[in-house]
Amino acid sequence: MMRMRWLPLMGLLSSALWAQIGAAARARAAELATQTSVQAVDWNSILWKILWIETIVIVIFSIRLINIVVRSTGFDPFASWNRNKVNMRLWLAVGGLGIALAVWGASKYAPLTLPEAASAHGPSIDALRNFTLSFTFPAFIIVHLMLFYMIWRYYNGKVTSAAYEVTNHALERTFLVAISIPVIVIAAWGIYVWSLPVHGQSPTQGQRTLDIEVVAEQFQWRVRYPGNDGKLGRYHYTLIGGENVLGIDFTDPKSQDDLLPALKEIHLPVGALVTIHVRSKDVLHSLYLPHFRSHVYAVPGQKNQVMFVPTITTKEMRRKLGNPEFDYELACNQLCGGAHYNMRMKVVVETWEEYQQWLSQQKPAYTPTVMTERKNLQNS
Amino acid sequence: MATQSVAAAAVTTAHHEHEHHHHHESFWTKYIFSQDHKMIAKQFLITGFTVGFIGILLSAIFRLQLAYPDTNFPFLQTILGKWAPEGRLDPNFYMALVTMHGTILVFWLLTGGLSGTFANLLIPLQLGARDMASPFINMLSFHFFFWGTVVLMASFFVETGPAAAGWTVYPPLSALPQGMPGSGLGMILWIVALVLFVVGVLMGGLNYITTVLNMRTQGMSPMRMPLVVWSLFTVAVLGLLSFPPAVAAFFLLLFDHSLGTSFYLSDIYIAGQALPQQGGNVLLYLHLFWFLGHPEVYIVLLPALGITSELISTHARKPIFGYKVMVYSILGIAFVSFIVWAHHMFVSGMNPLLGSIFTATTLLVAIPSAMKIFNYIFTLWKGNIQLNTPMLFAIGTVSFFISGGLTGFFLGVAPMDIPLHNTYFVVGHFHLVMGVSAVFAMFGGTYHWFPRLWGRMMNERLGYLHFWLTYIGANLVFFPMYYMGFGGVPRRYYAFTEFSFTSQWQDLNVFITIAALITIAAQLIFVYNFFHSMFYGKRAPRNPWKATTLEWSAPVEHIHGNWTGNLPVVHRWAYEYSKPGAPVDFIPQYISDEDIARGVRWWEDDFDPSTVIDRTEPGEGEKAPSTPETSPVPALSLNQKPDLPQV
Repeated sequence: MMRMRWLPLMGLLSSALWAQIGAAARARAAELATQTSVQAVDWNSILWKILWIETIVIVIFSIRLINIVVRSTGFDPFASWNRNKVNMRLWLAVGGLGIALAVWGASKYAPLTLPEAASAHGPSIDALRNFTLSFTFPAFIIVHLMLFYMIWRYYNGKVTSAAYEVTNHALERTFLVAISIPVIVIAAWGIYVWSLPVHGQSPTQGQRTLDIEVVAEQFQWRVRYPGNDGKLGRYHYTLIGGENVLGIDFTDPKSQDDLLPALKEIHLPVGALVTIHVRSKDVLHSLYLPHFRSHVYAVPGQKNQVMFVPTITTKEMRRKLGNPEFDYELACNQLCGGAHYNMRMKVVVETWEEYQQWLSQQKPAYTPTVMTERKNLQNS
Repeated sequence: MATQSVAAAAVTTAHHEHEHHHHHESFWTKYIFSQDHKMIAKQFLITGFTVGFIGILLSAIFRLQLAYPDTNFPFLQTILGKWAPEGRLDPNFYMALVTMHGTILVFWLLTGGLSGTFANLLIPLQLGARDMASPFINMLSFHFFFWGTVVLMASFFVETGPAAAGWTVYPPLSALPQGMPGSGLGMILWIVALVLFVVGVLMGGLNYITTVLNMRTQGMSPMRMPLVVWSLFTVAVLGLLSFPPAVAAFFLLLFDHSLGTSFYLSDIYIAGQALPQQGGNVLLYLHLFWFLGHPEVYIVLLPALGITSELISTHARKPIFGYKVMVYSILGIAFVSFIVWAHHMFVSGMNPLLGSIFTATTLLVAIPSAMKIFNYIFTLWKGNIQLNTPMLFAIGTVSFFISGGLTGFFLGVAPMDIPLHNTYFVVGHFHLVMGVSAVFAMFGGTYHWFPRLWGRMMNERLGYLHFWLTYIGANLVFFPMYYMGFGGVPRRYYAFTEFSFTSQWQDLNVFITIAALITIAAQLIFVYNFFHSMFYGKRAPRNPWKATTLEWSAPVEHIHGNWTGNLPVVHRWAYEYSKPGAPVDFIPQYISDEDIARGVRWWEDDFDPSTVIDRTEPGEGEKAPSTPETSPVPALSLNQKPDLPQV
């Protein structure tokens, strides 16, 4: 009731405010009437500002008014509501709908998740992931249902007193064992998969191997292929400059036949053991090949590498997914600056013959320009 | 006895001077340079919430960008100026927003705000101490925190913008102003702010540890302490051990940034120039940073779980289930948190052998965490659950901890981390498990201890509205991110338009943004409720929740020294709810069995706990109820433990 005595003052103030707003609006309307051209919506105009102020004022005054009416008349539609009962029902409704939504969403978005692994080691990772999912998703639902059951069964209203249950050693021991089993299984399986040649593989009998270099810089990838010797030559970052964008050391004979594809594409032969040597010219990047379940940081000053065997060609994957536009993609997955989101490179997996044919069309890194530049550098 | 009465006389004289001083407390000494732990708690709470709200508003801007990457929003130019030309967010500023959002929420809201508020408020009050061990250092702790906040906020107004290399500020990007504009002055300010912040945290932590170890009142043995004190104590130890390496890492980063050293830099060719630095390695920074970074997760989480323990036990009117297991879980999580840091680096190119080791240690943390979850659920079992606002938030914390914690199984295992590392799966995981769940505990704690802070109750109905909108909204925002993570969508992308495996998630991103905007708007309800209740809320009784812990035995109005007369003596553990044979469903810790036999009626609204606390000798006869006027603060007995045998 205290607040009631401010009502006349508030009315006075508000009418003054309204008069001001009205005057400003009329002035603006008159101004607009004189203009002939029709403009696009000017969100910064005074009219919009007035509208905002009006909205805020109306909201505040409505709340105040409702407050005053409730206080003075005692009219309160929620007074008869039972706090515990309403909240308990909301828990059940929100919880039930939430779990249903989580399950529905999982099925709706399953087609958008990464397709089957296109590398030899990928399926073992996916199998572990699916196993873990088959434990965590039911656990998520069951533990939540336990929580909702407790709320429904023991809310104040259904019960009037609580039990004095300090602990229960048998129950605690059961939990300890129950939670330890999945922990041990998943950890052991994970370590096993990790020790499978995820990071260091050796070629099987008769398997082709390919060593390529992928270099990250702000904000693009470059790839270097070895020439006929199958070996990549030395490099040093101080040699970067001019056309020698990768700082390749051409005094190394292994360098002189290396190839530098102009198009932003990586071509990989299916079934070969591919080793990607990853380095960075400037900041931290990350070579992320989600379809191959391969991922490693590009660290300036450190030679990182990642190995995998591509098992599905791009054509085959397009057929499997029924998507003729599908492409494997290489993304940067470590914040490297403003255009981080745009560091894309297409990855093409093809047969050995197609790969050879593509490779034969690529231009060598050791171009005449580079040779001249190198001579100039030596002379200076 | 004689010595005691002499001491009492001295105390009385000292008190008059004290009282005299008390009345002339100026605005500056009361609100700014306060050494009273309750005022410092309020300072932390309001600063933390204010910056936290700014941090959440930043997320509204970048969520808008993610949902509508091809749309111009002219109002963005109005508020951001050159960072949003034509209303299109600048990609570098997008990164700055992400960075500041993470920094503010992880460090400022959930470390400074959460621990700072509740450690300051609860440690002395729940342990029966007059104040912190060193009120002066406590004051400094807040002031360092505050000036850190000012420096961090100032970086928004730097010409090159605030730090933008992510909240983890990985070099070389953060060390090279050529790399992005945010790595200029903004980065230096970020480091300065963080160092000020850490100094504040360490000062606070030293105080919390000292107070818990030395200033527990008589009878408050460690195993009688409330769990929230256990967790705040553990967190202070964690902070003391893990923040200094991070500060070292930040200093080395500053040297690399400004003095040309090469701790983290090597072989860099940037902006058409080969840098002279050689021999450093970023992995050193990653190790140093995550040696803080992972314990930091538990520095955020443990106080949240501690608060949840209090709330669930109090409002379910039932002792916390498995108190000892809870204590050992806190200690176990704290220990394990120091040996798991490299799970953030599985694909960084560190020795793969470490991947196996850190997989094993990381999954170990699931065991104590799961035990805590089960204990929360079994505290509710056979309880008498009061579904009031604090309880709703506490249950919300548990729910988010389940939804977020279970996905740790994927990220903690090295091979599964390969396709999930740095994707939206990670974003969903940590936002649920330590972001929203800790924020919910902080909200719950605020609703619960608001009467203890301001002597008034917060509006219950607005509390329900706030809870339900936030609970539903936060789930709708973060749960779909798991789906995106299984699609391999990388985090920290300005737009998902450039890759075909990311652009297909566009409609879900629009959905997430709408949910996020509604959730953020719902926080205005809390802001209104908070400030309105502070001044106009219903006056709170001394023990509004009928809780057992000591903070509710002190007078509602804040006085230096917390208790007017003696310090309370503790006779029982902190969770004496619904004890069979007791007259009501709670027995406060300071009530002894003799008091019960004597017929003390502690559950009545007009019961004055000082009638029990100030009864020096049982059976000596009732003393007159003491009030601040008649029974002043004994200024000389700050560290006094009452009734200790004189040696």
